[in-house]
Amino acid sequence: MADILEIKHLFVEYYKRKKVVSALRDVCLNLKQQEILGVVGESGCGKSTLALSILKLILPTEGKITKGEIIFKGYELWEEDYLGDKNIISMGDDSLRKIRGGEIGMIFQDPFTSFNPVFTIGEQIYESLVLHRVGKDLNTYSAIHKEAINSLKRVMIASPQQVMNSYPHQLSGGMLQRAMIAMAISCRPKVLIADEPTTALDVTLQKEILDLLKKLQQELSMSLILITHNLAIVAEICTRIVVIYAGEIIEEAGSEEIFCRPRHPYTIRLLGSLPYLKPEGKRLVVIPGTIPDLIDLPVGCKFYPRCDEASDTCLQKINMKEVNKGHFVRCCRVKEEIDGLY
Amino acid sequence: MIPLIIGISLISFIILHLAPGSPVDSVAGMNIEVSADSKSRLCSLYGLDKPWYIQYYNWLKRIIFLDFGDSFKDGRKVRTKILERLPATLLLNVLSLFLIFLIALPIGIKSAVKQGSFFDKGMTVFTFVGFSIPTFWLALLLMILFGVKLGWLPISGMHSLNYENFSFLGKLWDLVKHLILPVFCSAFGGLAYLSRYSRYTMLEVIRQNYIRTARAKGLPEKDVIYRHALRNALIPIVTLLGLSLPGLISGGFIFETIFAWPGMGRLGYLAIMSYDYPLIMGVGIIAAFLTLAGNLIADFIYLCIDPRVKYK
Amino acid sequence: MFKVFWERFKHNKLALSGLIVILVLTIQACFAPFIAPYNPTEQNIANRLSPPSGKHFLGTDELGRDVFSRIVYGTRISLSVGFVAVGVAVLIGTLLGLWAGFFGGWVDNLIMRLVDIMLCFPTFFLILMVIAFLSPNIFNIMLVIGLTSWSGLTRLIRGECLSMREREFIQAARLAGLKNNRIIFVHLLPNVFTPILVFATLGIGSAILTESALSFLGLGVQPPTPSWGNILTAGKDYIHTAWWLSFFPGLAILITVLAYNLLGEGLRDILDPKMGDKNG
Repeated sequence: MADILEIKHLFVEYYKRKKVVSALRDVCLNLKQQEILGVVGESGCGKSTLALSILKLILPTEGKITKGEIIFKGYELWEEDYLGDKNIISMGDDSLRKIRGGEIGMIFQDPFTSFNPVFTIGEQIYESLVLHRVGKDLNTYSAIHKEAINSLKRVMIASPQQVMNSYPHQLSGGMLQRAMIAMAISCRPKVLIADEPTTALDVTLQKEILDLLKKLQQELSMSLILITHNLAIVAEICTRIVVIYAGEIIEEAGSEEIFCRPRHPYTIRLLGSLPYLKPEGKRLVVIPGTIPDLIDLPVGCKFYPRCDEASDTCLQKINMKEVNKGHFVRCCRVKEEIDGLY
Repeated sequence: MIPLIIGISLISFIILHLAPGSPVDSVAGMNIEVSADSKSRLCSLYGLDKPWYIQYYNWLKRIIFLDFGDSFKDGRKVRTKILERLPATLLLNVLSLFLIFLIALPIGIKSAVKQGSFFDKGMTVFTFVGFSIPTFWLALLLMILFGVKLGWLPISGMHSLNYENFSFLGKLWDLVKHLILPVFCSAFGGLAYLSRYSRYTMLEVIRQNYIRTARAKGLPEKDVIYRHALRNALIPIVTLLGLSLPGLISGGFIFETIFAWPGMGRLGYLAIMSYDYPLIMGVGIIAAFLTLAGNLIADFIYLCIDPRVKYK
Repeated sequence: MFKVFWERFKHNKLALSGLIVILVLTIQACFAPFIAPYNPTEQNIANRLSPPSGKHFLGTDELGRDVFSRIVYGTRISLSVGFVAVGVAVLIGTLLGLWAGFFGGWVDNLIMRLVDIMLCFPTFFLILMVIAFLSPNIFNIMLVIGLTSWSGLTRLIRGECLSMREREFIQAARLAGLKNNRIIFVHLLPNVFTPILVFATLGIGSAILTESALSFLGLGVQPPTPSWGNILTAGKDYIHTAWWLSFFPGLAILITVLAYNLLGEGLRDILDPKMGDKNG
C-alpha cells in the first residue's frame, strides 16, 4: 500500500525554565494506508510529542518543531476539495484546520479531561461535524443529528441519544473514551492517532477499546497510529512497530519480526520485562537506570549508560541500519550476534 | 443566609454596646446643663437602660418587620433615611461592577492568550499598581486634574446646583458627568484585581486537555478561546462577583465621602461620626444584605453556567 | 534549602526590588530623626502652604510644617501598623485555620461560619465603627485591622490542612499516639509556612492601605502625629491651591504597598510554583 503520512527528519524542542529540552531528534517515519502502526516507548521518551507534532498541536509557549517535514498525502476525499501532498508544518491555519479532525483524527489518553466539561457530548460531536462535513455531505440539522447518532452506534454505545444529552461528568471512563473515538471518527478521517487510549482506563476495558479501534480501522479503512508504553497492546493489533528511546527511533520493524527477532538491546530488554514472554524459570529482566536527561544529551547512543553490551564505539554518532527487509536498528553492534539473552 | 445576617448583626451590636461612648451623650450634646435626671430619661426612652441582649432581642424583633427604629439625630425613620440614599449607592456600585467586568475580562483574556507579549507585561504592571494604589489618593489626584486644573468634571455631589432648570437630556448629561469620577475610582481596584484573576484563570483553562481536543478537532482559534476556554474560565470568575461586593461597598464609605455622593456609604460614615446607633445598625445590615444578595446572584449564575453543579 | 531559595530569589528582579525598597523604608523609619531635616510638628505659620522648593523640597502644609519630614516620620506609623496588624491577623488566622483543618467536624463548621460572616461583612464599615467608638489611637487601629483581616488566611490554611490530614506522616503521628497539639504545631504548622509568609507580606501592604484610608477619613492616627493618611486629609481641603500636599504622601503609600506586593508575589512564585503564574 502507498504511504499516507511521511515524517522526515523531525526535530522538536521544549522550553523548561529557560532551558531547551530536545524532545525529538531526527525522527523519520512513514505510515501506510490502512496499516496499524505501534509507537512504543517509556514515558517521557517523546512519543506523545510525536503525536502532537503531527497535528502541530505543540503550544508555542511550550515548545516548537525546529526542523523537518510532515507530509500528508492527501487524495480526493471530496471532489472539490483536493488537498494534494501537503507539508503540515508549513501549512497555513485554514488548511491546517481541515486536516485537524477532518483528515487526521486524534484520541487522547485521559477521556475525563479531554472533553469540555460545560458542553454535552452531543454538542461536542456536532461541532466536529459542522466543521468538517457541513457544506459537503451533511446539510440539514437532522442529517447532522443522524450522523452523530451513527458514530456513537459505531463505537457500540447502546443508548446513543442518552449519551448525546449527557455532560462528560455524568459518564464513565469507558463510555467517555468510546464517545471520544466516536467524535474522532465522525468526520471520517483517513488517519487516526490514538495516544495511549487505554492507559487511563480499567484493565478490563482495555481490550474492548483496542478491539473497537481495530474494528473501526477496518470498517472505515483508516490508518491507525497507536501510541503506547505497553508492548503487550501493540503485539496484539499492530502490523508494524516503532520503538522510541530518548527522542530517537531506535528500532523499526514488522510486528512479528520485532517480537521474534529484536535487535536493539533496549527492545530486547523491553520484551524481556514482559511477564508472559518470560521463559519458564527465568527472572523478569529489569532495565537498570532511567531515561537520560534530555537537556544535555551525549552524541552517541542514548541507551549507552544502561546497556550491558556498551563499548567505546557506541559513543560515536549512530545511524539507522537495515538489518533485514523492513527492519531498521540504531545500534553499532547489531552485526554481532546478541540474541544470547534469550 | 439568615444565620449570616444574625451573626453579622450580633457582632455589630455587641461592638456598639461594648464601646464606651454613650449615644445619650451625643443626643444631649456637649451641653453640661443637661442633668443626670434627663439623661436617664433619655436612656429609658431609647431602651438603653436594659442589658444589651434584651436590646438586641427587641431590635431583632423589629427588624423582621423591616423597622430599624428612628435616627437619634433627627428622629426620622432609619428605613426612610436609608431608602432615600440607596438608589444613589446602587447606581454607583452597579455601574462600577459593570465597568469592572466589561473592561477587566477582555484585558485578562487578551493577556492570557498573548502570554509574555508587550500587552501582557503592560497589564502586569497595571495590575500591580492597581493593587497598591490608595484609591482615595487616586480620587484626589483625578479631582485635582479634571476638576481643578482642567475644570472638565464636577468633583462633588450628584447634581449641579441649577439642576432643576435643565432639560431631561441636560439632567442626564449632568448626572453622567457627576458619575464619571466616582465610578472610575470605585471600579479601579476591582479592575486590577479582576484583570489579573481572569488572566490567571484563562491561563489555567488554556492548559487543559479539552482545549487541546478542541484544537485537534480543527476549530478556529477564536472558537477555541471564546467558546471552549471562556465558558470554563467564567465559572470561577463569577464567584468573584460575589466576593468583590464587600470591597465595593467598603469603598463606598470612602468614595461617597470624598465625592460627597449622597449614598448610603456617606450616610453610614456620618452616622458613625455622630454615634447614631439605629442608623449605624441599619446601614450595616443593609450593606450585609446587599453583599449576600450579590452572593446569591453569583450562585445562581454559577448554577446556570456549570453543568456539574446541581441544585442542592 | 535556604541557599536554593536565595538563588531563585536573586533572579526574581521584582521581588528583589521590593525587598530593597522595604529595607530602605525600614531604615528611614528607624532613623527618622536623622533623615528628616525639620521637626515634623514644628509650625511656621508665616511659611504655610509653600510649594516644593530648595528649602522645603516637598513643600509645607497648612501650618507651615515640612511635608518631607512629616512623610519620613509617617513611615514609622505605616510600617508599625502594617507589622502589628498582620501579626494579629496571622496569629488568629493560623490558629483557627489549623484547628478547623485538623479537627474537622463541628469545630470546622463553627470556624468556617465565622469566616463566612467576616467575608460577607463590609469590613471597612466594621473598622470604622469600632474605631469611632473606641478612641482612634494607633493601638486600637492595629488591633482592629488585625482582627478583621484574618479570614482569608484561615481559609487557605484550613484547605492545606484538610489535604494534609490524610497524608501518611500525619496518620503516622496519630498512630504513634502524639498529642493533638503536638501534631498541629510540630507537624502541620511547618507545612503551612509558605502560605503564611505570602499572606503576611501581602497583608502588610493592605493593612497600610487600610490605615491610610482610616487616617484619611479622620479616624486614624490623630494629628499632630504625622501619618501619610492624615497629611492627605489636609491635602483634600487644599486641592485647589496645594497639590503637593495630596501628591507626595499618596506616592509614599503607593511605593510602600507596591514594594510589599512585589515581594509577596515574588515569594509566592519562588516558594510555591504551582500557586503562581508560569511566566516565560
